[in-house]
Amino acid sequence: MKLESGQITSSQYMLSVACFIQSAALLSSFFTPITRQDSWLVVIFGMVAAIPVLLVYSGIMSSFPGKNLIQICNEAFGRVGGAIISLMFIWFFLTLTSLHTRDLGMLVRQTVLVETPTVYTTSLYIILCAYALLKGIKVVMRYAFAFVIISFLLTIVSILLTLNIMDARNFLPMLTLPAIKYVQGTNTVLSIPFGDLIAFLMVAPNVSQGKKRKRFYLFSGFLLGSATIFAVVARDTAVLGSVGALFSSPSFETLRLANLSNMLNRMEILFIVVLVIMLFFKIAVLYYVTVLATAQLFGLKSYHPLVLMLGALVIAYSVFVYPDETVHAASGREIVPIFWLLFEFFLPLLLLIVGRARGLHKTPPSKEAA
Amino acid sequence: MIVTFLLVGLIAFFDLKRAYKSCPKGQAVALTLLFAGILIVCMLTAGGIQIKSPVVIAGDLMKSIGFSYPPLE
Repeated sequence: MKLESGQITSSQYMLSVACFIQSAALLSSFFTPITRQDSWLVVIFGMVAAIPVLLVYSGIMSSFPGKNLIQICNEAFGRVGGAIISLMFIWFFLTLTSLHTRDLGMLVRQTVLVETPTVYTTSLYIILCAYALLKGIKVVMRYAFAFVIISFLLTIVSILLTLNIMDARNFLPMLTLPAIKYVQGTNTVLSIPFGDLIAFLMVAPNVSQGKKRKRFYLFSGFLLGSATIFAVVARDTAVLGSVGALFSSPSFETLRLANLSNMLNRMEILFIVVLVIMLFFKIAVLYYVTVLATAQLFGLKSYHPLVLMLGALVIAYSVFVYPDETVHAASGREIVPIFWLLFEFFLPLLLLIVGRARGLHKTPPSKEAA
Repeated sequence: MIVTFLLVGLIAFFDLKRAYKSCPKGQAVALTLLFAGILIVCMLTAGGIQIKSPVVIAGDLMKSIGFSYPPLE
């Protein structure tokens, strides 16, 4: 049974993947304190480490065309096993939605609306996302192109404006940290921005067939998004050096320093505006995926009745998911990178192996037959 | 807290009504339980009660068995 009838084009899918990764610019604060001036290297290591993960995702997409993650779980693991694994994925998506909602609320509170309680900001945001969701996936994904362009433009402009304060010596010394730091940093980059792409396994059945295979669009989107993350981290390192590790948002501090002959300054507000837009996209996609997965598990004919209900849960969960920001930051560095691998790599890999072993996959038609 | 209860209750009423029309009895019961759970979580949060989230519980467990990265110096 298909809960979502709206279709998105392959290029919209690619841009959505790029936009999804670009919105993680805020999360660089999880790995910059670990790898300091070598953070840009860790982004490259993370990109390489993400290749097998993306291969698993594209393997699932090509082996089970027209089916989303929950449907594949139910087929591969049976009724009870499938329901348990599906519940784990739903909890994971719900937690990601709440964590990003919390991040957004904290960002707005720390930078723009200092005296406004976070819950008001997040509630308004979730209402906006719920409205978008009620209109369908097509509406949310349609804006990816505009968001990606805005993000690219801001990245380029910010690099140009900070050229005069960049110092190549800020990248030194290189590769002098203990090996475990690079492993931890790479794991963090892999799990936190890149591994979140598992959410797109819920969207894959709604992608209309393009000229190339879905794998091409997934990898292209990933490259576009991760190139932006790399540029942002390299820019922050060139401007701030190892001091960047002290800030909760190095990009915000970098843009605060941007100054063009006293005419153009206080550019950090642009960063906040763009990040709020990008986070809208990411939260909307994660929220949609949570709602769709829950509706699929319950066997509903439509996901619409769950939208506002789960929105209320997202707001409440975002309040208590972590007791304070110190615990959140420590967990993001020490626990989450390892824990998230279970949902982002090991379970999808198990799903692919079990599905193929049970002969549930669909073999692509051979060229001769065509 | 009362405002939260009214708001979530109102949403639940209309959404449940819509959901009941399109699903069999067993699913309706499961949905009602889900909504009741959400309502309780929202009420507890609105009441200022600090609930330990599953992420924190899992994190504590992983830390206790040494399955985590070392803290920053």
